[in-house]
Amino acid sequence: MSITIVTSDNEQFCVEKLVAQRIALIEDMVENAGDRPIPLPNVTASVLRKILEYCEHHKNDPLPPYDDGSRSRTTHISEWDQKFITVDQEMLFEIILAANYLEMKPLLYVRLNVPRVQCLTACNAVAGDIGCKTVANMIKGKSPEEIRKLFNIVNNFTPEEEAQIRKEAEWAEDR
Amino acid sequence: MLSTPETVATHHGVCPEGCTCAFSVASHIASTPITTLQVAPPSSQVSNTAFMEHLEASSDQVDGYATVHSMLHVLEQRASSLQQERDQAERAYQAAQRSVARYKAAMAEFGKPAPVGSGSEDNGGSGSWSGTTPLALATPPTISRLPIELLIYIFLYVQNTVVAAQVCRYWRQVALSCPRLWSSLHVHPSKGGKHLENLLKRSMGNGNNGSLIDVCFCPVRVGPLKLPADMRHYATYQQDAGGRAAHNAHSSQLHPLVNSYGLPLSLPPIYTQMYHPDMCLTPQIVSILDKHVSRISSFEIHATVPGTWLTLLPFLSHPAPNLRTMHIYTTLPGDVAQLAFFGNNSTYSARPRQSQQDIVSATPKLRNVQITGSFPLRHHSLLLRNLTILRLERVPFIYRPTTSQLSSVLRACPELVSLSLLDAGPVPDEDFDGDDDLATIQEGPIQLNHLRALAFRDTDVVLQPMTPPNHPTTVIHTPNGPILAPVPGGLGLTPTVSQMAGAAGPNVSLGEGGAVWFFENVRMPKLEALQIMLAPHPLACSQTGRMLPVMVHTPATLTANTATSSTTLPVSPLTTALEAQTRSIFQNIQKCETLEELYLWTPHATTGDVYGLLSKFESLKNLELPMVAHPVDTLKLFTVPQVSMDTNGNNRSVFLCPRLERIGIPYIHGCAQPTLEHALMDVFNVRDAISAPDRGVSPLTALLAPGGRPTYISETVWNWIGQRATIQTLLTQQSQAPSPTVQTPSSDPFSLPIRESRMDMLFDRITKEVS
Repeated sequence: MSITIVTSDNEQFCVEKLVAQRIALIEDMVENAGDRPIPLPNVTASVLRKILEYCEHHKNDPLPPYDDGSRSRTTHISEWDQKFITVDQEMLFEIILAANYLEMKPLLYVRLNVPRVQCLTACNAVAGDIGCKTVANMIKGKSPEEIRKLFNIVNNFTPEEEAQIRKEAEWAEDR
Repeated sequence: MLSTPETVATHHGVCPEGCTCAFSVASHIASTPITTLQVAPPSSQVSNTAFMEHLEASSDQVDGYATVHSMLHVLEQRASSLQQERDQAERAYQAAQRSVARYKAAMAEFGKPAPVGSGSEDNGGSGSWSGTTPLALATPPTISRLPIELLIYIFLYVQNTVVAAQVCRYWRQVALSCPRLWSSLHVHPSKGGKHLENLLKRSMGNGNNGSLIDVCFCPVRVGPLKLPADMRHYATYQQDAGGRAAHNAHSSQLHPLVNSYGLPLSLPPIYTQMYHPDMCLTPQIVSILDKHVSRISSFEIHATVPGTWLTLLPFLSHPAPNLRTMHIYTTLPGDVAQLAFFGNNSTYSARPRQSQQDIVSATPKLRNVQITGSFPLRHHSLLLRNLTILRLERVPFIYRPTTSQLSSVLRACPELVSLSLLDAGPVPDEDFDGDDDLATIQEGPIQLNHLRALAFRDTDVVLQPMTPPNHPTTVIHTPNGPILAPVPGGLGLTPTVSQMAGAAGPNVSLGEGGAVWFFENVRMPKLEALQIMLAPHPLACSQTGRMLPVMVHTPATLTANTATSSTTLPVSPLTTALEAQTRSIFQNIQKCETLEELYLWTPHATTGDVYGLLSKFESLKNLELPMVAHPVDTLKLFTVPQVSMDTNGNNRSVFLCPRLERIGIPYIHGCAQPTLEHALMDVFNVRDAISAPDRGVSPLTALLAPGGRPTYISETVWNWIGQRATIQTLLTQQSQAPSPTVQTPSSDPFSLPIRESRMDMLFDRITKEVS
């Protein structure tokens, strides 16, 4: 059985139900939509294509354990996922935002095998796991100035804040 | 700023800007009171021209050197402020330009016309649009578009929140608003007390309780510690400590502070004042952390410097009601054995003993304990209860749990999911002379109904390096030189093995980590992953330079051994003893229908014993055979059907481990072994041919090759296997060098002739799941 999804740019995707069900939001909408196409007004075709590629690859993965945020956080990303997420910055953030919107974990897959309340919390908290890990890896080991350059962020601290940060740097380096 | 006469009066003689300029002198010279000077502060709301006009108007009403000077002063400040604003605006403009360029490129890609005109990144441009613009394309995605919760999520992975909070105002606000981001405390010599104090403050947030915290005392470089001459024997004693008997006999002499302090630690308190230069623990650090023990969720320490535990005593005396994970790596095993953790020591010291029922554990939430280097002997029953993960590793013989202690721990942890005893197996009770009340022997087998992953390693038999000079020893003469070994019974050898060793010869002794006892007394009906590593470990042997004649898995001997598929070496008494011991362990392992993964490092298991073991696991999917005595014969076991009789009395062919999907290759260095290579191909061929869903036989779909292609597999055969199965390796991404036999990955991983993937061990998955 397949499901039709319509993206924000009016492209239609015919998706196998097993794959689509890895996305919590779609799974919820399927119940109400019946045979009608499912609209995703916040996701473009190019992003959905990537997401479905991920779902397809991970469709047989076991369900991940419930993450209450207390687990150790490693930024390791598997080889396939690493290749998958090697995209430009814009696409990377599009994927993270879309995953967040679609309530997916980690990144774009898997409905959690936990009660719905927990599931929603977990999904919202950790959606875009792989995307977030990738961004974290980009940030790691860089100075604030390098991070600004990387993400095109404007340094908008007030002089007072700058002074505070200078103090902070002192205690951070304190021996 | 000069705004009112009162202000001026207050600051008479002092520059209002707080600097040491000439204003202080000038204000004395100026006799005319400054009454009406209204110099506006530099403000972005006031334009430059207006500001100058205002200044000129003001100057008409005042005179004197002081006024001119103050005007100059303010102007200088204004100029500097404007310069800053200009720089900021320039950066913002450049950023907007880049965004517009990217945006145009994105529009071109989607076939949409670019907007007329351009605007800043923030307002999305003021141009008009033709056609329908999807909402998602209205602004190009940037990190600033991520919602707060995702930014926090990223920061949690980054871990260095200090840097993240210095990037921009938004990031700083987000970082400071989330106490959890400041809760990971890595105490390291390079960071001082202020650093820790500030992190703790931020992790408190606005609430009274604050976020739970993770404390890690990072590993430090250990250099030589300078001790005064009269104290050297403390360190020496720690290094040379031998048997438990020796420990007790000499403890009062070697630890004169035992009686008054009750804690015979590596160094007496007075000498802990001489901190190691690399030591991260100081009383200052400990006193800062002291107030936050109740918030600790995870505690990790790498204790390698004498005095560490003593410094931590005040810290460790508090209950830790939120502690979930404790990970200790120590090279001071004696200290850990004597120590109490987080107030779990209410029975210790000279106070009257209480019954265990009266004591409530001070760590009620502790579920995950991993200790490398020792076993907390005295407090095991309090600290190690209700755990889901327990891992003890590399525990020196004299600091291992006894069978009754381990029994007591396992009975107190009925929910245990993952258990690792890596060179930390129990020693028999008769040699333990510790607290009797903690070593109550209970009847019946130990039921671990939730245990899913077990690793049992016992690789240091006969290789106990910690033999005190005054302890009775014997010399074993081997072709590789004499070995100093303890006399049987002296270090707590099990009766079984001692007897075997005694039967084998008067000069041979076997140490044994209690594997026989363990598998005989522990029931694990739901086990899914089992790792058995029985010694001697070739690496351990090579490290100590002690090779035994029984080490058949040295390259040359193993080649000879496997080539003929039978033992051609002269059988030594020790070999016989080790084989008997392995057989005894295998026989004690219960039949298990849930076992999916098995790892065997058993160089002294005969092929018959391996068959006997494997036939107990019908559901086995993954089998790794890094070290078996006869790898060729072992592989053949999977290709030859056994005839068995079914319930109707009919004969039928049964294959060993019918559901086997993944097989790990034997780990053999530096030998060409065509027989082994062919045996491996046979397994793939036969299992492929006989696989059928109705027969319940699966084909082999993966080969586990942790170190890449071994030398006994030719490139051709390697490729042949790679084309029909996924080859899984341990190589990390960083260290993974492209193998000559593996093509460069293309965009489609499934088009590769060799499918490669990382190893995915069930054991690790289970442990990670519950940690």
